[in-house]
Amino acid sequence: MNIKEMRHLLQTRKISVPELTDAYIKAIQKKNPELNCFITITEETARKQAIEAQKQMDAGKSGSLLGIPISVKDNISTQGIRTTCASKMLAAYVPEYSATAFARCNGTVLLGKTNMDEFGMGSTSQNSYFGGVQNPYKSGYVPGGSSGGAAAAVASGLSMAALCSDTGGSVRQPAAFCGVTGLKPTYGLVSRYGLVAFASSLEQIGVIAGAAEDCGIVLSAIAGRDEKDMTTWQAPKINPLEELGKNIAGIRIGIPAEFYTDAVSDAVKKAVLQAAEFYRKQGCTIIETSMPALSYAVPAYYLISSAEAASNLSRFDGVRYGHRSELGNDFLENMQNTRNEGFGKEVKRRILLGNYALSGGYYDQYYQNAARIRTRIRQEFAAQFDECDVLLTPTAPTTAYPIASKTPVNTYMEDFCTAAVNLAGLPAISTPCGYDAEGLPIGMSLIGNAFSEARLIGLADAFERNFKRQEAKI
Amino acid sequence: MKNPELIKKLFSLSGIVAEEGELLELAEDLEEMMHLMDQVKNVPAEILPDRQPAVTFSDLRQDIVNPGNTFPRKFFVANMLEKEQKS
Repeated sequence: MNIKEMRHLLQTRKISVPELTDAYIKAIQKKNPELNCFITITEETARKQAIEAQKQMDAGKSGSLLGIPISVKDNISTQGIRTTCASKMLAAYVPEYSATAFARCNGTVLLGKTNMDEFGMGSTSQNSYFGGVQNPYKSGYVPGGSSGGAAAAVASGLSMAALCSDTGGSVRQPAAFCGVTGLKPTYGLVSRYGLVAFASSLEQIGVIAGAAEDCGIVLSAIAGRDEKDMTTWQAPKINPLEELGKNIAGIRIGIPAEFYTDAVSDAVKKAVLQAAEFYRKQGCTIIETSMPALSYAVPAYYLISSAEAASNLSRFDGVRYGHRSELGNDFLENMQNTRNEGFGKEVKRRILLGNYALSGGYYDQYYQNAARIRTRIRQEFAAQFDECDVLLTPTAPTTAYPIASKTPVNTYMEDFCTAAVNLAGLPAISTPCGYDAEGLPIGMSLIGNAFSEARLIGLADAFERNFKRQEAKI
Repeated sequence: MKNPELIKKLFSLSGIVAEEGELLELAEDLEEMMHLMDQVKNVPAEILPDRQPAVTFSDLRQDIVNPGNTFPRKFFVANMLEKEQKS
């Protein structure tokens, strides 16, 4: 059931907001011990919000998200509710304020904070101080990451929609692995105020939901200028839902060859190219294109994001935020012990890599070159959008894989379908387009020019209406 | 990444202490990561776009002496006058 249908049930009094909330809380209590997709379940808050939402509804008030149960990734600040970033460092941190994106979800019912890779660093949702998340289609398999908790929760019917962040694919890749829809908006469309910073020039708050239309409904609520985040754009004002149901004939869809290399499994290639065929039959033009610099996107992304992470995470010193070690004879020793105890291995790896890339003698070779590759990738995307309206690519080269079956570097390599989009600050949406022989979902991505969210949502919606989804097993 | 002194410096710069075992493990991970990152170091010149010239102090100084550009000039002149008056 999508948000529109749920709103209809609520407005016609077929179900009340407290009843709906109760059903979701019970489902979470039943499934979360196995999935581990929630770090914090906010049952008390949810029940209070449900009563308040019902009162507003009874008073004749309406709102696109009034009474809708949602979840929020645990790196997005929620006033009075702990926000851990799945890290020991912030395990007891309770923010004094809410992120703008969450605050704009007026009338929603917050069910809980979802599990993730620590500080958003990872693509498996196993790098969590609170334990790894299971894939709802197959236990023992990764749900993707870093927003794996959010994707698993939506796929298993434990949340109607989820707010989460995407730094190099963290919304889209877990959405693909869990058979749901994930939208990463244009950089600057949604405020990052209250999002715990990992790589500030790359990350953006996005949405995971059951359908493209639902992503658009949530995006309508959260998008727009925020005086507290000076990187948000003043204009243009967009309506993410304006292309829903419109004729898609004539839209030019680019297929860049570099997204379909041998690293992509046959099952994924077949499913995404079948989707291209669907669009062709609807009257879209399919254009084969090329983006030569794409092969450098992954290392450039890891150098830039790690450099920014090394800087952003330097604030965690045991004095101002979070965990503080008992060890150490002076400030320096105490700070080093705090960081050693508070951060997990992946976070340490990224901090070390970031500091290495920024250090004297290496800066020009690594960080500076990465920044120039980023410019080249932006130029290549711009050239693509001279010829095409959108690009169609796999979201990930494979389907979900067994937990602990890949080394960190192997998982980095898998990001080549998503990371370039963040380097260029563009919007993209991932939606399911097939299942492999094991029944694991396959995701395809539609990438658009800046502020083309409405077109992406319209195109994804057109596909979803003709695609039969399989339910999650858990 | 096989240079133990470099690894220790990097840990110190990152504000992290580690036991010998963890240090070795992270150093090995970093070495593997650097194989991937070296693609950026060795990127062919034709892939890289032209580098924008950096803004230098002498550019800013030119702004001061060049009456056509007034932003830093106003700021510096006001500061100089203030210092002169104080002295």
